[in-house]
Amino acid sequence: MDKIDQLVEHLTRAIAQRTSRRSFLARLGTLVAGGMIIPLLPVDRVSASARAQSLAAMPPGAPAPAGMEAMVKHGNPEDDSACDYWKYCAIDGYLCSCCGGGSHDCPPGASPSPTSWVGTCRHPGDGKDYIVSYRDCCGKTPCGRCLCANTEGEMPLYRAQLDSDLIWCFGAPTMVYHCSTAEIVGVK
Amino acid sequence: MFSRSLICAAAMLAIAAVPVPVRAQLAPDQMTSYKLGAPAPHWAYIFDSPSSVPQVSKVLIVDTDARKLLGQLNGGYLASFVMSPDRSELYMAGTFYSRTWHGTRTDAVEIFDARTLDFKSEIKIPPKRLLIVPKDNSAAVTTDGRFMIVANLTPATSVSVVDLKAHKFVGEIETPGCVQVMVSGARKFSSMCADGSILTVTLDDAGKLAHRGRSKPFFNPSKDPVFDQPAVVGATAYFDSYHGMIYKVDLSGEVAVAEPGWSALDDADRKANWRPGGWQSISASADGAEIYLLMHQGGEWTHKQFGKEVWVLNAAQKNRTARIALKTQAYSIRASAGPQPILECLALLESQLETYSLPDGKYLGVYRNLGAPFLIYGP
Repeated sequence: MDKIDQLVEHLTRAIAQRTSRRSFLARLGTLVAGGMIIPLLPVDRVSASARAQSLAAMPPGAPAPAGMEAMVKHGNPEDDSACDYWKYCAIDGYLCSCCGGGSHDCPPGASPSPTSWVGTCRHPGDGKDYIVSYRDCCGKTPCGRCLCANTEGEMPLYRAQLDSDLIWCFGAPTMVYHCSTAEIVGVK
Repeated sequence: MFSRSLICAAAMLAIAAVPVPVRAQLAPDQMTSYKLGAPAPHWAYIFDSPSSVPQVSKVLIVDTDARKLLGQLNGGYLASFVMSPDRSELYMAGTFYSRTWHGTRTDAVEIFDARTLDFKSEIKIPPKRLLIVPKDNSAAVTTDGRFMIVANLTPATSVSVVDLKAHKFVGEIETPGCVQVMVSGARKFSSMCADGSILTVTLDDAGKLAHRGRSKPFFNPSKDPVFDQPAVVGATAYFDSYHGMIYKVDLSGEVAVAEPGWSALDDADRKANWRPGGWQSISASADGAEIYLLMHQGGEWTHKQFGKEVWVLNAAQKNRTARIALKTQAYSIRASAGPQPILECLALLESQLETYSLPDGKYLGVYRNLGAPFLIYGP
């Protein structure tokens, strides 16, 4: 439970930094009033870093795993427009950094979703495991650039907090998905 | 300018009024809209989720024997497609924003005539629909055609119940911790739960909650999760797991009952890293005797890898009877109904449908230009 508590604290802090306290509490209240049926606790996915590392170890231009050719873009793990950028170890969607935004910023006019799911990615430079919040940017049609489908640790819909096929725009002005970001919440 | 326009308009009217001289052997064309006949077993209803503009969903109806497009149906944002049991109507549960991509959200069940594909009417539902890359059990209709059940996720989970006969929204039923809709009777549906159990909801004749029953967990989601789009035949669901286990679950009672699972893999298969995967990774024959699994070779967490073979399993004997090597790797599969069933395989990246004869797996042909085909349904 300590780990979960720490993760909740990290996520809460991250969200609170970007939304007014009132709006955050209102959204939290909505979720609780709604039965808290799908837990919104962030989820630790240490193993997700394994895939990022294995992809990072592959030389540029190496064949992608069978069937994933069109979904995996190989590149420098320091390049935030590539699927194997270290923070994207468990990302699924269009990279906002290819869409006018950044690795943790929305493109102009798109709204950061206050809800997200969380992974843990190891930074190749300092070797530390960072807690990463995967937040969608919402309010425009899909960007369509730099599609990444990293499925390490991804679960079916009955484990919704680990399902990356969901439109994670809960609490945003609209449920229209635009692109995905990865935001460092803290060090594990 | 006015007089010139008037003259032009008058000239056009004159042309329209006077039959154009035609060669004697050709009669003037009469423009109509085609109607569809009764659905044939080898028709495929293919859900194309346009990735650039998912605000408008498409279902393409294809005659897989003639390899011909018969028609198209439209729906709202990430819509859910369902057919009436008698195949007289088609439904799209969709989400709409008043300004397409922003504005006020409205969710509605849209009703279409299955023969003309004409829009007939709509029934508004609460703006809570599950919005996800399209899945085939995000909505369903009871076996008597009376109620449509639409999955909600806000992220609290519930369903919206629509009375298709009375043409009205009946109400919402909470499905705590459980999602999606598998219909197993005239007044019964089931959902999959986070702990590996099944929630079965029994409705009364008004479409309200009569009973809610939770099964025991039949698999361990943390160790080997089952895929969330099982093959449902009548009141029986066949689930496949990430590691190749098959579970048969009886959904006919007030509480679902699962048989012990069995593996589709032998030791050699496991050594060669074979496992199920894709989007619609499992299908079953109309009588439930055969199970079809889309298979690939990959390690852990390759559950969305495209499949290069379809394995045919005997559901009663719990063994493999055939392997069908696919010409193109597939993301979704379906075994058709009818006296001569065929295997229909969607290749997402190639935007095409390939068909194979059953049970021998002979390649029959391909139909292309299907957009981003995620799901395949049949009459």
